[in-house]
Amino acid sequence: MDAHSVTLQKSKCMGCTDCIKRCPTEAIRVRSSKAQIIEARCIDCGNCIRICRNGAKKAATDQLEMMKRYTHRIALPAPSFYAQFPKAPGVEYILEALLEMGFTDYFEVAIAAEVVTSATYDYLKKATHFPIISSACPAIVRLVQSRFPSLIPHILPILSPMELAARYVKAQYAKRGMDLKEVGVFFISPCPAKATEIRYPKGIEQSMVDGVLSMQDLYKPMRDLIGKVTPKQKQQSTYRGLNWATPTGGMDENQIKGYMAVDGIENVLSILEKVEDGTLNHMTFIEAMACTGGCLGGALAIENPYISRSTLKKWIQKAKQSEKQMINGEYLKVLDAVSQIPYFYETPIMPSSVLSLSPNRIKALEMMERIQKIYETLPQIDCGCCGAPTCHCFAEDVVRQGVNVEACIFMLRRKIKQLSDEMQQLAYTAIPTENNLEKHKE
Amino acid sequence: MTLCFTVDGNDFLRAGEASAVVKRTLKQLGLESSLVRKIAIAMYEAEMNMVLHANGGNIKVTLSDTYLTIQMMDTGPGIKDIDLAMQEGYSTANQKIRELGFGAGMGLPNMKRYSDELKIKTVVGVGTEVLLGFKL
Ligand SMILES: Nc1ncnc2c1ncn2[C@@H]1O[C@H](COP(=O)(O)OP(=O)(O)OP(=O)(O)O)[C@@H](O)[C@H]1O
Ligand code: SF4
Ligand SMILES: [Mg+2]
Repeated sequence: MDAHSVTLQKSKCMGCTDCIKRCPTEAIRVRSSKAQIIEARCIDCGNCIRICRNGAKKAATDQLEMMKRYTHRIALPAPSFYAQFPKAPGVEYILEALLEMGFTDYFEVAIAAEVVTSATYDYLKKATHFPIISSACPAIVRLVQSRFPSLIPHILPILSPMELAARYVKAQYAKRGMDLKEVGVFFISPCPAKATEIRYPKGIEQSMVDGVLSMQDLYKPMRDLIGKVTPKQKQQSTYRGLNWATPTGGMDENQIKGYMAVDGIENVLSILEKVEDGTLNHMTFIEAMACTGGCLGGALAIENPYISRSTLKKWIQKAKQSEKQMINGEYLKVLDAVSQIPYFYETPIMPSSVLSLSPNRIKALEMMERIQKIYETLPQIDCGCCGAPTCHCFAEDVVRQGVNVEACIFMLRRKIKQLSDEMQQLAYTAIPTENNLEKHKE
Repeated sequence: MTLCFTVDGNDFLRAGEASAVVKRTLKQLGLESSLVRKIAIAMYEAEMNMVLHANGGNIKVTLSDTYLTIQMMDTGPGIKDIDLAMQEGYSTANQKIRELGFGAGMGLPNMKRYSDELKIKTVVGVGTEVLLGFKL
């Protein structure tokens, strides 16, 4: 399986330069009129999926058929999923429709989110590298690994609500004596980053999530079912858990001094630059989300994020109103059981040195000088015709990958001019057996 | 390799750009990330001082495989008492600068702390030249 969950459907790609320009990590090039994703640089943010007008970029999530492999099929719906259905009479209808769809059970990710929130408060009390950067969005963790390796000690070393939920479900089924090979846990995802996360998890050896299904694949059948079902169970998630899908995340700003929520990958990039420069040392916690609007703006979400935000607000409001009935013995038992599951990272987060030109410093320096020289000869207008997002990036490609410098149309034109000048010169070269060209004409 | 930058003293939005380019260059060189961070912090402080106290200036960065020199030259007001300016918490920043989140008087002390070499030449009314050196 690929290291990434964003793939290109070659036949649909027209070779335009929309995606190379919008990729926050300069991971896409157009070569031979087709886009190419540089695997090592991609952080699976899904920006290119959103931007491609030909639908050539696809998220490689799992197929619904994968469910058939398991006797027990457990859905993990996140609050962002509830926000896709503004017409549902209540969250319990969405949950019931999941059972109707073929899942044998579900567990609300929002419950695990509540546990992650309180674990985070505890961790902040003893943390040493401030500001702590939230690790819930896998695209952000990847960004830190590849672009800001010095900030790795700032990453919150706590499992995402998705992973914690999956661990809890597996533990429950194991307790009941079930063969875990028969138990399939499926996360319903707003983004490709989560699909990569279960294949290449960070901070743990292996993910307990067996499949990641795209919200888009479930949307239509779910929408039809929601109108027909009669819920047999109440929703268990409280407003605190549901808050996770808002752009400010699950933390209560009033409880942490120096709290910041930043969404949208470009904004996150500039905030992380500042953290690296040491200007945000006074902050305690940064909730960073790759998508504008948080997970509601995920590349696989269906509703416009502003609409889904108001839908989510509705569910949060409802949950707040019935808070008293919801906090019952049953709920507290579940919450307690989830907090018993180990939630700290078990393996270190490693840097990935995608920026480094060469492991040999002298060679890297020499390459850098060549890059600078080439860059100075380029027009520096970042037109993108060469297939690279910027002139500087193109100069890097010339030195790193031996791309022909005439792939830049300005350089090509210069070369043609130079050749034609030479040809003209040649045309006037005296030929010994001929007096001169003019004479020949007469 | 040398890199040169002109820092505009009136453009707060672009302040810190030179530091960002240098930071990227150092990452490309494959330097240890904690070292990159030290350099980034020191250079950013120096660049901001040039913007906030001296109305901009010029930066020259010289990079070899073993040493990095960052030279910052401005034609600002100069520093009257360097020993005083080097003290933690000393700042002449006005209210406007403080509102922008600067003026804690930690810039020069941090530059000293994170660099291997710090030289300041300054003449009141003429300008300041700050040299930061780092062993790579
Ligand atoms: N390039 C410069 N030109 C003129 N004066 C300077 C320059 N750099 C520093 N100073 C003087 O030295 C003082 C101390 O500088 P320092 O960087 O330590 O603190 P600051 O800039 O005032 O606050 P901070 O760096 O914490 O935001 C400044 O307040 C200023 O008076
Ligand atoms: S913000 Fe949410 S939807 Fe977007 S990439 Fe991160 S985890 Fe996925
Ligand atoms: Mg300063």
